Amino acid sequence: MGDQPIWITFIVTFVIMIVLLTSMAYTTWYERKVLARFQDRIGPTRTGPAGLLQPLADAVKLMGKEDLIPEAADRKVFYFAPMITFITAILAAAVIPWGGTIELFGQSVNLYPTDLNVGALFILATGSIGVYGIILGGWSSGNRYSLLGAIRSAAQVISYELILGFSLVGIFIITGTMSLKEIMFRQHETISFGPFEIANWFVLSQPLAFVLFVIAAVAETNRAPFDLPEAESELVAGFMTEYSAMRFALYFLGEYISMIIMSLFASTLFLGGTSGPGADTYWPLGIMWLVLKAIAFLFFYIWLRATLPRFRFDQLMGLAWKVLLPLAILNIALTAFFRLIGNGQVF
Amino acid sequence: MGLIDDRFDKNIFTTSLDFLFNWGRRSSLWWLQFGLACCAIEMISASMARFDLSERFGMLFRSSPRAADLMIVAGTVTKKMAPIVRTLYDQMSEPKWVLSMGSCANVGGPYDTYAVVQGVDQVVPVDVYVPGCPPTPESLYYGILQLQNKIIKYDTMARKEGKGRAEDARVAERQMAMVGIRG
Amino acid sequence: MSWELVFFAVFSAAMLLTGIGVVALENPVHSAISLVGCFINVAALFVMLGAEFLGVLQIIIYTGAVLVLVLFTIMLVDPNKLPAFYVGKPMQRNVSAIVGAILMVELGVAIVTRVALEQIGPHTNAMVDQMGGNVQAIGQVMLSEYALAFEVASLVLTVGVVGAVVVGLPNRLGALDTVTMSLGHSRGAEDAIAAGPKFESPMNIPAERYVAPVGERKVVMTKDPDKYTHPGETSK
Repeated sequence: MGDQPIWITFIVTFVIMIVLLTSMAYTTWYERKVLARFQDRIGPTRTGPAGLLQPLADAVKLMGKEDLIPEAADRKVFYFAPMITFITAILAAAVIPWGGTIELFGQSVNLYPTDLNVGALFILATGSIGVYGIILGGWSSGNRYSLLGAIRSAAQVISYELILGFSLVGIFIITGTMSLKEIMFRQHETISFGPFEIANWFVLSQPLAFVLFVIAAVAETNRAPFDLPEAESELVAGFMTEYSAMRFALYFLGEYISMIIMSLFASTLFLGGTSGPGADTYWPLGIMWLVLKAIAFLFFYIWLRATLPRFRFDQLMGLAWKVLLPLAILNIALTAFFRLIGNGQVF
Repeated sequence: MGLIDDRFDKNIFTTSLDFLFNWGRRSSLWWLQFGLACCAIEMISASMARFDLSERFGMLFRSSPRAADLMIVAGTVTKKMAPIVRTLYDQMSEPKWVLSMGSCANVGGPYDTYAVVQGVDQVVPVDVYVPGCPPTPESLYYGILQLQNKIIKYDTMARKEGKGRAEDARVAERQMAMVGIRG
Repeated sequence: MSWELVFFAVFSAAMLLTGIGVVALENPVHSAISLVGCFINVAALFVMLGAEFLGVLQIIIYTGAVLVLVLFTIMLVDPNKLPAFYVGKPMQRNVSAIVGAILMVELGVAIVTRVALEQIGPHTNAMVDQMGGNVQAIGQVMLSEYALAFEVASLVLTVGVVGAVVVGLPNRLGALDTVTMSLGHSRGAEDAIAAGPKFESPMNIPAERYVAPVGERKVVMTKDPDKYTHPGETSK
């Protein structure tokens, strides 16, 4: 298990990339449709059946627009800042497992690009590099609104990344590993709860960590109600005020890819990943369960955007440092304590 | 697309590519979040639940002019506001369109005074005028549909029909005729 | 093996280049970006040595948190208004060069002697695997062998946090500044002209002249220039 010729890894990665880029485009369509329904509207209808060609039209239009660079901008940094966000967002998909090892056409194929033994931290690391795209983009634009958006983003991401990391420690204590694949397969086991056999999803054993994770994930991807870096009522469009055409699109799509990755990440960590009825026998069913969980998560993201107003900045920082961080530490202490009881090292 | 503008004759490749880009531009006219007076209220109501103008046609509010394609001048343009309107127009990236909404933006409306610009077309080039005081959301629809019909007919890559083309054709015809006379 | 060598060469070359960029580039933000590149390459070298955990932590902590804060500070400074480095201070330059050279020689000697004497440290790959992996090995070493150093480090960090809070607190202990907003009066300008270069702006009053009670923040608004007084004086 594990070793396979490198060309199979390339094919798997290629397929995952294609699926990710397509689903990224259609996440924008999904968001517009769902948001429209929330607001008693109908969303895009005129572009293809049910507006299905809308992402294509947006992409074509953005490709044909003028790539404008402001006079005051730092040209080199302005050029590559959006790419940092986009590339690091895609890079995080490398450690998401879509199943175990399967037999396909007589070859054993791993349904994950790589099984890094610090996979969960790898996703946090890509997120922490991705914030440079936002900060440098805001700074290099030579625009005050952009700079303010960048500074807000820097403060917000540092605070919430801490909580995102801390909320995972409980799972690391339970499983004793940081590999996403092993964490996922631990959740395929069942635990007996009196007469019932229920799935060992970590959302059941780590409910507090799950709530913290969801809040921090929304803040980490700069989505409403934590979308202060691009608060349009105060900062025009925040860090991407000066960006037009494809550079703007890279930011836009990077945000949606991060949303998808965060949804997959949360499903893998807390909701059992590919675990579900029939998933152990048929691997396509497992992938279907994972996708369904991710779509439910995306729906939750949009639901939040449609429902909650934006936080004020001091509320945002206060929530992170005064409420969520103590709760995260409490969760770690409790989990460690119960783990010690389970090991028979206390009492 | 400055390099390939107006360089090729009309054929299946250039016209198809033009159609693709025109269709994309037509179907995703993101408009600048920008209202000047009472017409803006009507514009807002056009984009809200009952009419859903913005999303149905693939339009979005963008608050940054860099990412916007369409500027709806909704309301009275005072002389104090005119430079700001012009600045916003200049900040938008090409290709960009302007829709003048309501009598005030069209011709100054009832305010024939020292303080009001008599028509926003004195400040920015306007593509579509929507009459009314204020125009109903339905008229705004109609204006936007007219703009979409205008955009879909653009020739970007294919050589444009028109004066220059006619001139070329006439020169070629005359040369052919000369060849005929001499031959 | 050869591929490892190639990757090692690429990463180290990139690391050295970006490291030179940190000191050589003019714009401080470009230096910071260069440092980001340097740290990422260091992380890559860690991963190549089999220390994935250290590599990822290097990115999360140094690239993701520390350098973001550094950038945060640098971004707010106008690069054109920075004082030039080393101008008229050859001492600074020479001393730093000497210290750097000494450190480099020390490091080189340590590495060379270790390799020459074949004194490999206790934490070889086999040893780490036996302990159950990177994370477990680091945890055990940190909390047993180096527990004291670990705790002292956390104490130092706590002191730093407390210090930051004290420095960053609003000016509650001393005089509280009174913000004076005067609508259209000219008295301030007259004062400034009369007092010449020694003029004190009413925004920065010396503590002995007016000490406000804790928690009070006074806003003075005057329309009539004759009613304008310095805060702390009784109005006419």
